[in-house]
Amino acid sequence: MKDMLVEIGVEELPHATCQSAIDDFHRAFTERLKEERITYGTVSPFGTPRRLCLLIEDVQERQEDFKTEKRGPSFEKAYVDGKPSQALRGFLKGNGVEVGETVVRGTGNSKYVFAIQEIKGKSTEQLLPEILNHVVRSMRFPKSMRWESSGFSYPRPIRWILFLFGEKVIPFELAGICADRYTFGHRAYTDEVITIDTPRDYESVLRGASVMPNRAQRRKELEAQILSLTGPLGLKVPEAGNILYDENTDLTEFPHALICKFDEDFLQLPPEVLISEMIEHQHYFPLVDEKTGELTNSFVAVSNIADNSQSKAGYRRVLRARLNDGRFFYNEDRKIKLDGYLERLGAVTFHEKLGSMRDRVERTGTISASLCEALSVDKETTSHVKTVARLCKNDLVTLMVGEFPQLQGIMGYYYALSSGHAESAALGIREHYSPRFAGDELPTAVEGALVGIADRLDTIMAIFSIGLRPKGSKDPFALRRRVLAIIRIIIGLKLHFSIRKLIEHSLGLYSMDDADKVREDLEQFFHNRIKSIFTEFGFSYDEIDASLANVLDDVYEAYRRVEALHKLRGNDDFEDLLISFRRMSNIIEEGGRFNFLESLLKEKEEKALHGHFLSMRESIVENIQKRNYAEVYRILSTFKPYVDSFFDNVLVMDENLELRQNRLRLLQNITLVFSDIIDFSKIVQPGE
Amino acid sequence: MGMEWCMTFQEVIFQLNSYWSSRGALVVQPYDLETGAGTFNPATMLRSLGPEPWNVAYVEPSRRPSDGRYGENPNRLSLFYQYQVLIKPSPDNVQDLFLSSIGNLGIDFRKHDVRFVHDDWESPTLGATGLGWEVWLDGMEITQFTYFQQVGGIELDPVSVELTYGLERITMFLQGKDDVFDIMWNESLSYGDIRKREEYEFSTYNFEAASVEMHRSWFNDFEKEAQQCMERDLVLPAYDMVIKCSHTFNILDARGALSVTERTAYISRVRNLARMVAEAYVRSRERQGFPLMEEQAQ
Repeated sequence: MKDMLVEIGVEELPHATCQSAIDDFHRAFTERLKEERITYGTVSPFGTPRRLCLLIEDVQERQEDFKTEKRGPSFEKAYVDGKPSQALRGFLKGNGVEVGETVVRGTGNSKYVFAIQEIKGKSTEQLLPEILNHVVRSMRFPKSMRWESSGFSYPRPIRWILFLFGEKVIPFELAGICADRYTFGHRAYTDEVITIDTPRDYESVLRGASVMPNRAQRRKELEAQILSLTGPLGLKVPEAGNILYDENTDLTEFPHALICKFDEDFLQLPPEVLISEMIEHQHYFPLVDEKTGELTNSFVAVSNIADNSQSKAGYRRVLRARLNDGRFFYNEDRKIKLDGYLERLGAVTFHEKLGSMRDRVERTGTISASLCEALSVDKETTSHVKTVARLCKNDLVTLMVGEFPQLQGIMGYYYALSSGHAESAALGIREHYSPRFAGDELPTAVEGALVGIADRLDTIMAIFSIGLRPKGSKDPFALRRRVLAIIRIIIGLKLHFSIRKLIEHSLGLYSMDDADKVREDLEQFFHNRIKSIFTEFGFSYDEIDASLANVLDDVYEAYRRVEALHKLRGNDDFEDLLISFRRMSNIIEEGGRFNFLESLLKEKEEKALHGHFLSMRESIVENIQKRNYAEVYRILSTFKPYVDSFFDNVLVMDENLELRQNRLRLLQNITLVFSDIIDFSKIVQPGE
Repeated sequence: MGMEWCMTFQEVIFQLNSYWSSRGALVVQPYDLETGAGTFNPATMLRSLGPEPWNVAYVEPSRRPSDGRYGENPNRLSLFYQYQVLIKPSPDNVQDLFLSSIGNLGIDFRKHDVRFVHDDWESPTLGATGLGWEVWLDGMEITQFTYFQQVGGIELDPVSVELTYGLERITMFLQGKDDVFDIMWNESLSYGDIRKREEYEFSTYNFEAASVEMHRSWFNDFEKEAQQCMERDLVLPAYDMVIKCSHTFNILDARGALSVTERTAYISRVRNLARMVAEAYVRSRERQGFPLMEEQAQ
């Protein structure tokens, strides 16, 4: 057994590529070793912006031997008078084996001759060049480049390759570079080659050359450094800064964090602006007060060199220039009121067939107004909603959002406030984008929620109106995600309104040839999306189907019905009961409509069932009216013993037509009273 | 970096000239048209095309009308000076060459953090793309370092490497100045002495005074002229017209005269011209027998 070391020396990899490149290199190499039947011990992946490396200890020096088996001619055809036939001789020759290396297997007519071949494992040393070649060429990157005459492409130029098996260099060539035993240390300290004699020395030799090649260790080191700088000062990195740990780990060969300050004056800018400037442009860690969570004027920069006391001035100077830019944008943007940007929005095309962003904002306004009406929103809120709808996209044409697109909505909030609008209107502008991604928070107030719904509904309807509805996996306008956001808002804010009517009322805002067809398509789209969204919430298909009546007229109620039903599923008694009710509703379908006469009840079990129904009916109706679904389902479960003994002892399809019809009518009455909340016929038993 | 010895703006240029000249670069002069970057100079844009080796260095005054701030912002200028190096084919040790070029300016890498931070480059108007970095010096971007992959829509083989130094930023760093107008051009005159009024006047012109009507009509004329030149196979004059179109577009853009859709349309018109010229240039060099190939062989 020998240790193997391979290092690909590159010019600085893009930091976003680093981690996955290290992982891919590790995975691809070990997979390849397994495929080649070469066993190995501990694997240590290393990687910095300038190198991808693997140390694999205790690698077997030969592949495992293995046997191959090949089926030849049938036994009958293989031997003539006990001697190998033409067919067998051809088979043996073709596979390069002797008669002695065959066996016969099988019985009777299906006996065959098999050639058994022992393949001796090749030496690992001999196989390694092809393994590395395969691995390097199989790695995939988001973006690659050419730099030398062979035309090989990689994320950044490869400048050296170190490839050792034991103490021996494995001959290997790629992109004009021959593998050797040389590597390089940290750029700032040495440009001389460093010789690696034995693979296991790698990490300590590089540590001696100011490089920390173990990525996980580098990240831990960085975290520890930052904690020791910020902890004593009562500061910490806010959540938004978390991505910086990885970024800085992949921007350094040895991280050295240092704490700096920017001028306090800049704290007058919105914290989101300061944070974006620090994170996006400089990869600096913003710091907040540990107790209040408020942004401070301290920040952490991460340097690649140990003696960075002189760098501090540079870090500060760059940030000052950036923040000055931010201040310039902020001041310029506020020279006119947020309302004044509407005109510029007219110059931004939303879609060539759908007009400008300004047209879109106007449609959103109309839809929001219909929503307010449908929800009987009070006068003051309605006027805020109107403001939000009118102003919600204006910040898109400000300088700040041009620079930092992720501040859309946030700048709208600040600029609305400075333009004299009410806090709740400003907040609505900010929140109408929420939720922005899976798991994101919902709007906290109705203003943002309603405009958020209207805004998304406009996009959906607009895209449908020009015939670009999502198909298969193609959903370029992310309409499915928009429906999801609408549904999440409706449920989260408990909004009762009819999407169907809203669509119907709003169709006139778009020009299209066949409005009826578009309306049908939209309803279908929403209906299917809601079903699949409910599935994603963890409800099963049948409980969704059973509860989805008129869903487009009140999604929230449908959700509550499914939820109430879902909570009782899995209980054996309740499952049985549901199946009995399904049976009842199926029988009735065959039954038609008859008058029910209590006097015709004969058996004691049907009398008991009817009695129970009578005693419960009022309560069921009342609870359905009050939308108290959990209680309705609780009452439903009290039917269990009555229904069971009814079916055990009473024959519904009695020969006497009168009795039969009366019993059907009884069952019909019972299921009908529940029909507003559940369609029993959709229920499916587990395993069906 | 010794504080007692501070390199002036012009000394930075001298140093870079002498450094690259001693490494075999042909040192040429800025192009005599308004360019947005050293890349627009035919010594980069056209010479990066085709198989002929090329190694050039020059200062390029670069006009960015939209970046003007009337001389009031310590970091933003409507015109600044780039130091441009283009080497084809890209040498294996180009990162080291670059590092010694700035080490040569007196920067100690043990005390100042130099980093190559991923930044791929794209010029929609030139139909050009490249992969590379912005080079950071203590967090400040001082150079754009790019391996060209495509120019004028043509895949490059061999690949050129482009180094674009921001001369003002480097000098600010060397002189420890926070305001670009405070850097010393020579021992007695500051950058502000020379350029502040110019920044004010050109910002005013670009943002407020430039005739939109005239620039629109110029753009159309230059475009036509480029096509006319192409018909007569006058590739180099045609390329001049591309540069003029590009600058005219930049003025219209700074003037706020273009809607978003119009903007996209203008950019694609320039790109189409650039492509046409790039293809014609390669054909023309081919007809001339790629004359610089022979020099290399000798």
